[in-house]
Order: sequence, then structure tokens, then C-alpha cells
Amino acid sequence: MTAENTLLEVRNLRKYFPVRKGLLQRTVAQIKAVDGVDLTIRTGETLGLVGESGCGKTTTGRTILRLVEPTGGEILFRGRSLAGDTDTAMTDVATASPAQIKLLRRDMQIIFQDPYSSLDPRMTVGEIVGEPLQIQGLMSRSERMARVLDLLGAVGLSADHARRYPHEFSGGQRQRIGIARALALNPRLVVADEPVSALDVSIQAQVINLLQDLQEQFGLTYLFIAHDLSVVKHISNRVAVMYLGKIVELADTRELFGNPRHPYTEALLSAVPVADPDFKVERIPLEGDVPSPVNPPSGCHFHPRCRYAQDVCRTEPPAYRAVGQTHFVSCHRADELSLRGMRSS
Amino acid sequence: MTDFFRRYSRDKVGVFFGALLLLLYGVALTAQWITPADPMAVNLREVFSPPSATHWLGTDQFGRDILSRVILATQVTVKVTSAACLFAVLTGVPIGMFVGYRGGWIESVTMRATDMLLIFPIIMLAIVVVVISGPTETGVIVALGLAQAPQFVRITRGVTLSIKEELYVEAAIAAGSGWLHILARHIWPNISTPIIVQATLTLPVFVLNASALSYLGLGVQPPTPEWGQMLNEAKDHLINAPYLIVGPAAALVIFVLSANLVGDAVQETLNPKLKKRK
Repeated sequence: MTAENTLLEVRNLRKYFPVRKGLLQRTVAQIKAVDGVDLTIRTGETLGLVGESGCGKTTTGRTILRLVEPTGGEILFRGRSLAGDTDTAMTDVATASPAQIKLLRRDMQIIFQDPYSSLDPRMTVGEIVGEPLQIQGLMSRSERMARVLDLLGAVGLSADHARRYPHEFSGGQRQRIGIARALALNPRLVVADEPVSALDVSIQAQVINLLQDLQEQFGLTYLFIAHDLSVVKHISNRVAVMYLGKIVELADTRELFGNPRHPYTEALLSAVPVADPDFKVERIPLEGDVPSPVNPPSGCHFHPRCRYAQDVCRTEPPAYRAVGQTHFVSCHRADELSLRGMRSS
Repeated sequence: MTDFFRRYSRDKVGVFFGALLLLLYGVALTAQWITPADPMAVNLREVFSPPSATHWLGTDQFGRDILSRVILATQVTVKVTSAACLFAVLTGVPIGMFVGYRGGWIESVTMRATDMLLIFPIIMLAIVVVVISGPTETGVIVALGLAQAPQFVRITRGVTLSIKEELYVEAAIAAGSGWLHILARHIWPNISTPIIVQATLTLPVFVLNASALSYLGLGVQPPTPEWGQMLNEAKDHLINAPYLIVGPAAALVIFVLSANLVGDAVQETLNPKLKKRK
């Protein structure tokens, strides 16, 4: 059953990319970029999604928005525009018709990682921010202009920026323009796909604070995709850790950072730098690269790099199960291991 | 735009030949009024008169003033080649954008079809079209345009493929945009530069092909003058009246050379990276 305050529920989401070869373009293998992801996002919260490069977190975000066609699974979303503001019905984004998708887009938007490629160099900032409204055919030209100016104000830019072109702005300012565009349709869910990883650290803080202010102001829900754990810890209510197309652990932020139950999470946490010169931490190095998602390891996908691995890990894929009220993990040995979290700061 | 002209003006060769090309287009536009004599008037008392004060480039076998005929031929050539160039762009670019953006089997089929068209020598393709449609002005325009359209399909598809991967296209999709909006609003403004360059660089090819067709008797028909056709007539009298060849040949060389060099200059202005590799 879906709880009342659930905005998005993802069940067994899969996205396989075919590997084609030869003259006839026969499919010789599947890249399992997303391989059975279950997630729920509650209205108003920020869910952090972390993992190494290539683990499928970006694909997950894009598949939820149907920017990438899912191979299988359900994406249940409480779309306001589609249900006629009743706020009760959930729509399966994965099977929605093109007309439904167009309406759903008003409620789910994306902020991209790269603030350079995400703004059309031939359009003015005003045109860029107003484009979603134009596409959706909401508002007249003058209403749109007024809304654009409001949005620019909300993200900390000024009205006279609207007539300028993207190349006149810095990376941080460009990201603000991208945020204003994502908010133009007044969405409920915003997928933030590594929104700060292309920015300087000082600018990162500004943009994150802006995202938090906007969340409060507009009642937004974020799926915050990142690989920087300290950023995720700061902004998220709950955090999901992804490894090779699967969620391996999901818990409240404090719980996950203080009391990780999956060896992969423990290793990730040990790599976070702590701003204290006297603090000694034993790093847990992860050896080797992320295995290929074309041919993932048997059993638990993490076992070749796991220092606690036993025979069962090599043969049996672990179940994704609850180990606490709000703590889910996918590890055979979650109950017996005592793993080290991060010192609370 | 002003920026383009400012940078273009630094290219001395480009400016000189650009002026020459503009002059040719000026001649073409005003041809009816600036010919010193009636280009069609037959004067059998003055056949094969060598260049003189009255007939700067001499007269042909019917006593018609060559200079006047070259001037009128400029108009015909400019009209035919501009229309053909426009035809090639207007058919090739939309097709290239559409198949490049949509992809899939429709792209494969279109690209194999253009590959097949590219196998044939352009002039032969044009001959086939002219034979079917008849040697009228429209026939020549369609023939030259169709022969070059595959080039524009290929170039447009190539640049479309790179632009459609940009994140702003994905942002438009995420906002619910359809393909038509994306092509018109995002793809076209970002691919127009290489296509303008290609169009300028192809213009001399159109001129050469138009003259070649008319040299072969497949272009604009007499008595309307055309450079290629005038050259064809002049070659029969090469021994007794060699001066006949000078006018049309010089006009052809000037047009093709200036169009080529202007194309290069536009290319270097819009795409400065290419210049350094030279």
C-alpha cells in the first residue's frame, strides 16, 4: 500500500541498454544500468542518491522522468496536473501515454549537472527560463515575462539578466538559471542530477542553500543525486546508496551516516574527509574498479571488493530487507557485522 | 551579426572578392538597363568584328554585341544558381534535421538513399533530370538543386546528431516539448552556421555545373545567352575569332573564384579554429 504522503514510489525499476554488434546490429549483451530499484519519496523531503560513477544513479533519475524509456518496473507518481488537483491518484509514469507525460512534466522537472551544456547558447536567459511555460502553453507572453522575472528574483538573479545570453554568466549563475527553468512550471518533484558537482566549493554552498530555501518556499521535493557525501549529508532527509544498478542501503541521513549496515556504505563513509586535523580515521580502500554492469558478479554484486565477503555472498544475491523501522539494506551479513559510521559532527 | 562583419572585414582577400561578388550580383540585377547594346539584336553587317570602341569584346557570328550578352548571361546564371542553391538548402536541410533528430530506420533509409545519389557524378544526375523535365530554366534549377541536396542532407544530419545530445535539448524534452519545437527552437539556431558556410562554399559548384549543362546544350536554350553556351559557340570559331571566348570565360572565372574565396572567408570567420590548421 502506498502511504498518503508518498509523492513517488518506484518499484523494481529496470533499465537495460542493449549492446549491439555486427552488420545486423544484433543484441549481444545488456548493460544493466538500473537493475531493480525500489524507492519511495515522501512529499516535501529530500532523498539523496549516492554512488560511484557509472552505478546508474543518473539513469535512475532520468528514467523516473521518462527521459529514458524504462525496460520494466513501475514509477508511481502523484501528479497534480493529471489528477485534476485532487492530490489522491497515483499515475504510473512508466506506462503513461505521451499526452499524460506532457501533463506530468509540469509536476516533475530536472536540474542538470553541467551548467554549460544545459543552456541553449542562442537563447536569452528570459527565453530559456520561460521556455517550459511556452511549451506547455500556459500563460500569455506578458504573464510569462512577469513569471520569468519572479523566478529570476527567486534564484537570486536580477531582472536585467533576462535579456542577456548564457555565455555572459559564470558557472554558479548558469546553474541558478537552470534552477529557475526547472521551477518555471511550479513542479512538485525536482530531480537534481549532481547540481553542484561542476561548481567551485564556495559556489556549491550558495547553490545548496538556494535549493534549500526554494524547497521551503515552493514546497518542493528533491531527488538529490550526488557523489559528494558531505553535500548529501547536509541536504538530505534520507539517503539511498546505489551500487551497480541496485540500491544497497537506504536510511534516514543520521542513521545511515552514524550506523551504516552495508560494507559498501562503510567504505564510502570512511573516504569522506573530516575537517579536524587530530581526527584519525582508518580508511577502507575499495580495490579495483566497479565491475562491468554488462556482466555483474554472481551473488552479491559487491562481493569481489567486500572485505567481509563469505561463501554465501558469492553465490546468493542478498535480499533487500528492513533492518530497522526506516532502514533497508541488501547484505547477507547485515545483522552480524558491526560497521563503523562517521563521527557525528 | 555586427560582430560577424567586424571580423570578416579583417580578411582582406575576403573583402576584395566579396566586393567583386556583390558587383556581379549588382550587374545581374540591373542587366536589362546596363547593356551597351541590345544583346539579342542581329546585325549581319557586323559579324565577327574584333574588339573595338563600340563593341569592347567584339561581336559573334550574328553580329551581336558580346559584352551585352555576357552581362545578360550574368543575370541568367545568378538567377539559376541562386534558385538551385535555395532549392538544395530548402529540401536538404529539413530532411537532414528530421532524420538526424528522429534516427531509427527512417534515418538509415534516407542516408542510404543519399549515398546512392552521391555515387553518380553530379553532372550525370543533372543530365538525367534535364532530359526528363526538358531544358527549361526550371528544369535546370531542379536538376542542379537535386544534385546538391544530398550534400546538405548529410551535413545537416551530422551537425544535428551532435546538437541533439546537448542537455538543453533534454531540458526541453523534460518540459514536454515535441520534436517540431526542438528542431525549430534549438537545433536550427545552433546548426545554421555550418550550413551557411556549406551553402556559400557550394555556390561556385552550382555556377560551374550550370555552365557545364548549358555548354552541353542541356541548360538555358538560345537565344537567351549563358556563359557555357556562349563558350560552346565560341569554340567553333576559335581560329578565326579567338576573342569570342574571352568574355564568357573571364566572367565565369571571376564568378567562381570570388564565390570560392568568399566561401573560404566566411568559413574562417565563423569557424576560426579551421584557420589555424592550415
